[in-house]
Amino acid sequence: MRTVARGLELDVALLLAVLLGGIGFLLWGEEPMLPLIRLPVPMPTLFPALVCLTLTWTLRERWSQQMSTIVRHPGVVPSARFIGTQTTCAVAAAIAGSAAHPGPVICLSSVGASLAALFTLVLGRSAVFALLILSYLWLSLAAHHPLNFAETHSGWLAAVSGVLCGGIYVRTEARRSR
Amino acid sequence: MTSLFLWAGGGSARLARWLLTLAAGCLVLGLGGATWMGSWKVALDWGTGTLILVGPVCAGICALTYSTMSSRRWDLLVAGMRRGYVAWLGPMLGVWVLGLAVMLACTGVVLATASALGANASPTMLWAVPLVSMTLAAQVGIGAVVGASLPRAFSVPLAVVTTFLLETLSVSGTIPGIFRTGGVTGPLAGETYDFSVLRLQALVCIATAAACALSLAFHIVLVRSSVALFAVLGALALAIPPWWALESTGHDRYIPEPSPRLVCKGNAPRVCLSADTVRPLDGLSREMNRQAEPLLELGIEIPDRFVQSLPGARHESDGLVIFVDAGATAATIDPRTVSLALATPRACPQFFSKRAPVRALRSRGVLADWIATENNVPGIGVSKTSREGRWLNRPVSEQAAWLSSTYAALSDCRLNDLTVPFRR
Repeated sequence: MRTVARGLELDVALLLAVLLGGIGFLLWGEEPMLPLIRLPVPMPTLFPALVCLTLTWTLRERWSQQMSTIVRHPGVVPSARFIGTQTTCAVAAAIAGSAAHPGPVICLSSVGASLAALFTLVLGRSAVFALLILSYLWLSLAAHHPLNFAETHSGWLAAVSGVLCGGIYVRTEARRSR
Repeated sequence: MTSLFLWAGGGSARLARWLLTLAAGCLVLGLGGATWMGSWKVALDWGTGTLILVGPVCAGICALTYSTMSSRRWDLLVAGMRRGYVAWLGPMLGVWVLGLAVMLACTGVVLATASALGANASPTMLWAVPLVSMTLAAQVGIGAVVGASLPRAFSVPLAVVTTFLLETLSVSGTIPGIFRTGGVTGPLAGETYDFSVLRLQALVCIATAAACALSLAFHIVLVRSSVALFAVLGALALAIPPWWALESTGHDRYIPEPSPRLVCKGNAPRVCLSADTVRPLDGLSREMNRQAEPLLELGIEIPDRFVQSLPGARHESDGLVIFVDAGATAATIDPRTVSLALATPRACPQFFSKRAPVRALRSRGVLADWIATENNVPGIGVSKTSREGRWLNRPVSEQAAWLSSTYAALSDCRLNDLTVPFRR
């Protein structure tokens, strides 16, 4: 298990998640001003964007040639990658939002990670650029139309996006490794 | 020569980088909406402000390039070459040129659009462009160092997030505006850049970029690690004096112009706007003449001239035009702005004091509502059953005395004499 986590670089990602979560926890009440966005952006809105920018690099398969030699089902490693990435994102969000209601932040981070999986399939290492642009759009939208986190059905959104994007990710990665 | 551009990859990779960087620039301009169309200065600021996303994207591209080069031990390969430093530092310069080209293209497009729509140019402000490009150099340098130093997978997101956070810290004032490149939200009417601040910020960025370039160069030049460390720290130390100067003297990029130029139109009343924001002048002049009619019919003497409220410039003997949100750069005029302007016949100093004259502002508001009602301005927001609504529906003969005395008091800045015409 430990070897698999290391192979997928989830150990480094988990360390970063704890670090990022700790910073988020300390700054949870802040509402920083972001460039070009007229209104302050609350941390529950900002944090999911930060999480999916910083922690979804583990979704990229670095040893795709070696994948064809493994004896397990080709969907196992991509599934482990996807679930591992979702877990690290959830850990960061849970630590950061632990003083308030972490549920919606975890869900939004999960949605971000699911979208990151799709971007990674198409863009590879350049996925982070698309995520940056998408995150910026999300921040400017959410700053001007604040979400009511208590009422948002973010759990359903996270589940649907997770199943949909995760399914496409695992299926495509498994096909590639055949 | 071709070998120097190997890092850039094939045609499709180069095209993808261009498109990606251009998309980031276009997104910034898109988020600005139409605000930059009405002012050349705002257009310039948003053009250079494209670096807000172009900068992190370029830093990420640089990190991606250097992490790939490092993982393939390109540094060992070029270290023995005669002009190895060109091959090693070339990508950093190349990505800077890419970002600069996108920023210049975006700036050119927005400036041309604003000029075509009638905005007056302020060419002296163009000196900001080379100064701001130093910020991009620092961002690209940070991306290069992160890419060359950290594991491959993590370097790109780290470079992108770091440069974006530096911009955020600059906007919030935690660091003295060093990575702030534009994207102003106001109309910049009667304002200009404080070039002393921009120069100091550029100096900090040059020192940062130099430290990053030196740090990269020591990957291929064999020197003692202590010498390399001293050289990099020495370059970084050059950033301390300008940083300290920015901290001590303030780091606001914009200052009021000493004598802002006005452009006027119409008669009785004549309307004057800053030469920087003339887009709404025609509509404002027409609407001002229309809405002034009910006051003139009552024999109320309105000022000869209404002047736009500008930072640092006070025209105390004139009426005051105050634009809300993007009104100063918009093509159409909000009739409520005109009603409020007509209800402000003089720029009384009390309006600009720290303690707002609440009662006077309330009376001015009722007067503005009356002007708006008489001119059938939509969306006044006063309920017909409220006390104010009932007063507004009374015959003009009953309102005239209050209107005349209130207008006279506002014109003479006797704000303590003002009351509302109904019980609160």
